[in-house]
Amino acid sequence: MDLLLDSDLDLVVKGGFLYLPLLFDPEVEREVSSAYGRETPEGGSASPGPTVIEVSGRSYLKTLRLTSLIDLYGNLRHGSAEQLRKSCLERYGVAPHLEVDGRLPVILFEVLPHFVRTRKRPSRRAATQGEVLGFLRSRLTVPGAYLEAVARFVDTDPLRLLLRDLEGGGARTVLSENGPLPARDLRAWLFEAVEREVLRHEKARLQEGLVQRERFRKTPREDLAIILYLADRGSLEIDGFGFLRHGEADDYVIYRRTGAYALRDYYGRLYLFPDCRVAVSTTRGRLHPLVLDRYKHPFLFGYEAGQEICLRHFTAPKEFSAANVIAALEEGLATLYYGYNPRLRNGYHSLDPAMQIRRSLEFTEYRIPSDHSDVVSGKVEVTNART
Amino acid sequence: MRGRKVDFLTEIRRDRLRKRKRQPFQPTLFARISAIVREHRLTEAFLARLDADEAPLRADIDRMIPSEREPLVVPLYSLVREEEYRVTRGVLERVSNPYLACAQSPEDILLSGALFARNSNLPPERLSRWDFDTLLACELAKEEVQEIRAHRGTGTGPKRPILSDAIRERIERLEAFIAGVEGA
Repeated sequence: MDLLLDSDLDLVVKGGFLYLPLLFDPEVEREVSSAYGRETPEGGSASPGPTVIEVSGRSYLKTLRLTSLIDLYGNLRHGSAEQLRKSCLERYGVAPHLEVDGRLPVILFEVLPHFVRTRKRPSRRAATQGEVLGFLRSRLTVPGAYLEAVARFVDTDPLRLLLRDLEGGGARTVLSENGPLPARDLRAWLFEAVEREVLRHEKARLQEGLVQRERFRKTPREDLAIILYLADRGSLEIDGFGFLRHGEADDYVIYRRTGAYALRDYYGRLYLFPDCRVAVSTTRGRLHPLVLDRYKHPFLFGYEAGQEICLRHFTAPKEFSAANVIAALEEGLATLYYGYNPRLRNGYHSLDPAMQIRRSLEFTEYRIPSDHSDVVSGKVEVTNART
Repeated sequence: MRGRKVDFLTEIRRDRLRKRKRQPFQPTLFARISAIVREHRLTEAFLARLDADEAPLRADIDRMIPSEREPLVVPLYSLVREEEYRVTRGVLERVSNPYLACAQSPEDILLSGALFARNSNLPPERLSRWDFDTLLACELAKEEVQEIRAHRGTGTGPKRPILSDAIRERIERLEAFIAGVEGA
């Protein structure tokens, strides 16, 4: 990308695509000549199709879609994109402010009650927002600063003003399609387009912020302070359930701890597996359960952190919703607890070393006697006892 | 009969093994010439020099110090801009001698024809090691030595011994130069 933008090349833009000067060797020349139906590329003018075009007597090759260049600019030139973003936001006076991501209420009020008992008495009715907040209030100590931040948060006027300022922001240079243009023109156009993209993204973020502010306008001050506290902190763990926010895109990792459990092998011997966090991440584009910690299990390929759990009949959902997150976490937990069949020795590895030519993972250090105190007392359950 | 059969089979196997043996990949002549064109930014003006077929200048051996050169890095594959391609094609159309495959500079391209015309049996190692103007100077030196030896003793009169000393000195210098290039 740097080579292209800083080069002295002449480029052509046509139909939303970028065309670069065609590079030659004898075979390319032969191909181009046959496509043109003439001996050499500098002679005729018939077009061989949209892949190669001839402009001012020179051949140009179709390469990238201009919109792809804008979309992928952040990935290709991360540092430059970040610098552009910062300078653009500074110019429009967009300062960092406390926001509640739309996914946080879903995690708090829909996923958390599924895994954590938020009420004293069991009930088939789903926990309400008020009940969840009451439970969180009983378990968390919120610093006083967040109570003060509530008043600023519910005041939507500054946000509306900012949105009005951002409307119509960003220059709009149009790239000429009439002939070759120098690479520096493309560079200038690309920077403007990236700035427009930054502004569009920022507008969407502010609008989402407005929606969340409207949503929590009537929430009691103490409860809203809890939400703001969690939004700012970005992590929580209560009774084996938790979430983490990470990365620049504010992705969430939602997890549930397995606790210690035991698995039985072909000979009925027991293996005590330590606690681990089964999680789904919004980073990867699909909600496939994985184990956050360095862990080994028959359904994990290696012995490292962040491994996806082997699931045969599960299609990881792509859309973020409470139901999908719960389903993925449940599937991951069930696979670790109940997936291993000692008679079939299914999964990547078998617990007992029989019938294997080369074993990549050993589980012998997890082996415990059948009268282990935790198993006898029921503290640790043999989860695949009935498979 | 049996022995002949075995020989025949062995021969087939050996032949197949030989065919299967990997040969080192050699860049094409196009890749070499295009590398020179790109590195030295050669233009159509260079083709005009080739068309003019300039006679090589007789090198001054007294001032010439034979020096080995850094080998040219030729890419395995070459893709060049249209104008560079035209120059490369122009060179390949105008110059067709086996020494072009060892050329490492525009001067080598210009002198390759003259060098091949004077001596078509130079080994590839020597062609890669020395500039073509050094090799051409060597060939010219050899010619000069032969020429002097052919006319040696023809001079008459009182100046003969003085000329003989100068000629002897010249021959020694030429032979030293030739030995420096060929004997290295």
